[in-house]
Amino acid sequence: MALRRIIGTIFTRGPLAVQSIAFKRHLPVGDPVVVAEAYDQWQADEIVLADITATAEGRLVSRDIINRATRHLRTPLTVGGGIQTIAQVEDLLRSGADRVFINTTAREKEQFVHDAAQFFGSQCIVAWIDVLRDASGALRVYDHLTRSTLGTPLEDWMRELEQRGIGEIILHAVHADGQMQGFDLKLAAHASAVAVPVILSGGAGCAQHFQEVFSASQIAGACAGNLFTHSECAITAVKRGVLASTPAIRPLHASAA
Amino acid sequence: MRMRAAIIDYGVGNVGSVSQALLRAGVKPRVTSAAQDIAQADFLVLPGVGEFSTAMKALDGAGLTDVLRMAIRDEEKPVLGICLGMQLFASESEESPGVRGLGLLEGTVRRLPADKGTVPNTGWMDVRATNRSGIDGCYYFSHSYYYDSPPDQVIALSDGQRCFPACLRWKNIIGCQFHPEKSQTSGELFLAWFLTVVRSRHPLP
Repeated sequence: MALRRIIGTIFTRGPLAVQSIAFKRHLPVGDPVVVAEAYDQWQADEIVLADITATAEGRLVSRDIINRATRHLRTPLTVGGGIQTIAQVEDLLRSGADRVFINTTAREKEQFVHDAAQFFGSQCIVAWIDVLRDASGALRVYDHLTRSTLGTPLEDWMRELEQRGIGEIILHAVHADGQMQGFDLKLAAHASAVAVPVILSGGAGCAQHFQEVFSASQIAGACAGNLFTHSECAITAVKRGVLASTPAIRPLHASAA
Repeated sequence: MRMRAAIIDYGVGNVGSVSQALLRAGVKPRVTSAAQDIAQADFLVLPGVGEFSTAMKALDGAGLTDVLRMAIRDEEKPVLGICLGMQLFASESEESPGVRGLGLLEGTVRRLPADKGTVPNTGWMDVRATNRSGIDGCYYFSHSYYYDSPPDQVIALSDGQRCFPACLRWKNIIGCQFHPEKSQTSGELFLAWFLTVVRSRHPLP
């Protein structure tokens, strides 16, 4: 098994990194390239760059940012936002991304994940699923464009993506987004529905939240965005905290430890 | 004099990150598909992301298959294959039955067993050197297939239950299943080790 990953998320709106709060409010952070370089220095295990308005605005996540960021990155980078064609996937990979994630297009074009996985390999193609806990407490697949939940049960959709050849699934808890009250452990439990790695996103507020979710579930990694843009060396601090109780993450290299 | 690296560009693979990593290591990298650049380089890097048959078709299409075989096997030019780039050193892969690889190393590329971990295998893993190279470290992996190699070519193994070759070496040919260009400090140390191997084989004026 690979070690559990602590992943730094960068939410962007076009050229600007933002903090996202419950998918409703966005606070500007600054240049995404600077954030990516900080995450790299702080020994994030991976960086996820997500343009949260690209699909709604009919754009693609910025290739310029990826190009500039990867010039100095020594950390794997997964990007997404607005991907609709195989040619765009190729462009993003050539711009320096290691993997891409697909959300809306996976639902709208049944063949897309299959084709992308066939061409670039499953390890390169990640699915992003927004999940909302509804009033009854049920976890439902959420469409951020229409701001409504969808009928397909979450695990059915995860298994469907796996069959189409997806290499990893990111489950993003919309209701926990930006709240910093901890990961949704019930959502994390759904990781065991599939054999591909599952990553959890939304709600991280401190090192203990990572410890909780790693000990309670099978997830391969956990993301934080707002938490890691709050303070200097935030990722190293969290890793130090998690390492105290969970040896199954990557140790810090001496330069930052 | 700075060493010259030819990073083979055949349309698949993240050549930009590899190029930047070599630049930081003090090498003069050139991303190229030209036979002349390959002939002039002190060493080659064969990156690769994607699927075995797509990559072999791309190499064939760029007219590179025989150029690489000649440079690596006949001229014994040092080469580093990264991830799929290393897998292409094999004659065949379970990923693409019937498709011929470069056939430079013994062994077969096989699908990772699903009963001892996720497929794809994505993330960081501890790697143990089986010789005195000192390349032990924690590296980033992203793959669904692994190189099933005779032990005499293996110089490092992945740690844990699903133990597979992480690094191969046979004469001038070195391959790693992980991505040194994405493995932060461990990756930089690995590339530094690779460069000492290149220098020891080809002392520069």
